[in-house]
Amino acid sequence: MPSPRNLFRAGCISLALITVSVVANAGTGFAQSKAAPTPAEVLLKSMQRQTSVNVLGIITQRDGAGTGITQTIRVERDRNGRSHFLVLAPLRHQGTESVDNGARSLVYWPDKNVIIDQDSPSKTPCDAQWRMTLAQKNYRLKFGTPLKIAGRTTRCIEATPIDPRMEVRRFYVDATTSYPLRLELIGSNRTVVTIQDTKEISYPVDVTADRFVLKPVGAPRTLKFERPKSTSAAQVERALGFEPIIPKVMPMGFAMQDMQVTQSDRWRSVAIRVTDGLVRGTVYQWRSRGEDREVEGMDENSVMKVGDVRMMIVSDLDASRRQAMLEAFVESALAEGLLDLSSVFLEPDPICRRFTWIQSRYEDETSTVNARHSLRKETTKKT
Amino acid sequence: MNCNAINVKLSAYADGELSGTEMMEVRQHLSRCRACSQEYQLVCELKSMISAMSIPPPREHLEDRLMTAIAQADAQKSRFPWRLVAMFAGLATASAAATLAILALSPKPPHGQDPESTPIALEIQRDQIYSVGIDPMAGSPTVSTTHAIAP
Repeated sequence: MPSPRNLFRAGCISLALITVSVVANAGTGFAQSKAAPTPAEVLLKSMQRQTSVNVLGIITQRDGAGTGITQTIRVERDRNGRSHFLVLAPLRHQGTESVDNGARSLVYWPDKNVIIDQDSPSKTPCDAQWRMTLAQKNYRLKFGTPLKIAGRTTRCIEATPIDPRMEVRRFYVDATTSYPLRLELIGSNRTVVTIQDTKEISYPVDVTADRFVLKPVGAPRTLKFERPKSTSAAQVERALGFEPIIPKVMPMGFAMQDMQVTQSDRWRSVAIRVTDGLVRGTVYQWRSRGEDREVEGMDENSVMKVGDVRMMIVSDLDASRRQAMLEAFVESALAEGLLDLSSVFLEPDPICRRFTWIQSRYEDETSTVNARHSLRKETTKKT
Repeated sequence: MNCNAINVKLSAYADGELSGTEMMEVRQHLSRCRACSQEYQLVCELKSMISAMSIPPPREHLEDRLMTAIAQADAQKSRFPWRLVAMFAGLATASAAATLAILALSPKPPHGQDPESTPIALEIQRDQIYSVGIDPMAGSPTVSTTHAIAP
């Protein structure tokens, strides 16, 4: 039978062991919680413009123009921000090439024998942190089921929008390098559309500089463009002769990121960059002159006319959401008194006539005015 | 893949015509096989030499010879029964007029405008290339995001 002294000693030892294990577990847990990145942190890393590794891969990307065409593209990137994209398929786009050497960005259309030459977008400051803050306001981010993509282990970040009009987005990023490997959109009926996918990928240690040199066939015509410069509404009014329509509150959680005036003499317009953190869009506005015929044939979900100002939205949103965005853009501007109601409703453009909310609001105002008129007439008669 | 299989594909590889998997296989093979790598260099050199070749000027009297050939073809045509030709020409003119009328009356397609033909299309195309380049998540600038003006 153990003595009370031995019992006391055993009790002390077990108590010490329990304390040590609790402290150790707590310490490990703390270390784990500090080490394990959040979905937002993982996504933010993949949004950085400069990759931490050199990339060599084959990707497929769906045409955002709504044609349903998927391009197969060879991708080369280096950790200095240089990139080279070459379209391999389909045949109608084959040979289209884009090279960014960090100073200039060149896009070569071999069928048209044209090169678009402009400043490298990498010269603009990286906006990943600002966009992530906005994305966290507009989406609930959580980890989804990871998959193996192109032989790589991934992390899946599922972004569920707070606004029901937007779609769920699933980002698959490389678990080791955080390089984006796949983007899926999940529609309201749970249909999954793969926007971008990776078929093959490797991370070579070295990438030679000659990979970022464009080698066109023959002597294509080069069209040079100046980098669009950020500007203010007052400067736009001075430069273009109209006040740009910029609502303070944008629909679907979007916010204005930048406003730039095109530097071309052929077409003077303002480009308003909007984003909800994960989806980007550009609303172009210009004073309508002789170019109207040119715009008539374009997608009617993306174009509308308010007074003498044309607006066009370009975004990877689908047609109905683009239209909703454009309508809400005008509605917000109306609510803020930036637009005259009659300029929207009375415009003979058929696109504006389908806005039932404008119609109802206009009719309300008209009926109120009519009622006041008739009341005044009746009062005059009585007196 | 062995060296023989790679050799067959080298030209297509140099032109970027292979599928994604094949491109990677050939690239991997070239990185470890010196003989095939040298062969590939030769293919590339040959291609660059061909593309650097100047277009030979036409031989003398080419125009005269062409005109003579056309005149001879016209002479052969004159043996055709004119009534039949006139009937076909009439039919062709009528159908061409009908096609032109349909094209003129039908609405313009939303896609397929030539970006060079219109300043707005070209400007938007150019601006979107820039905009996509800003966002690494947007993928390749070669893919059009312009629903209104697909290239």
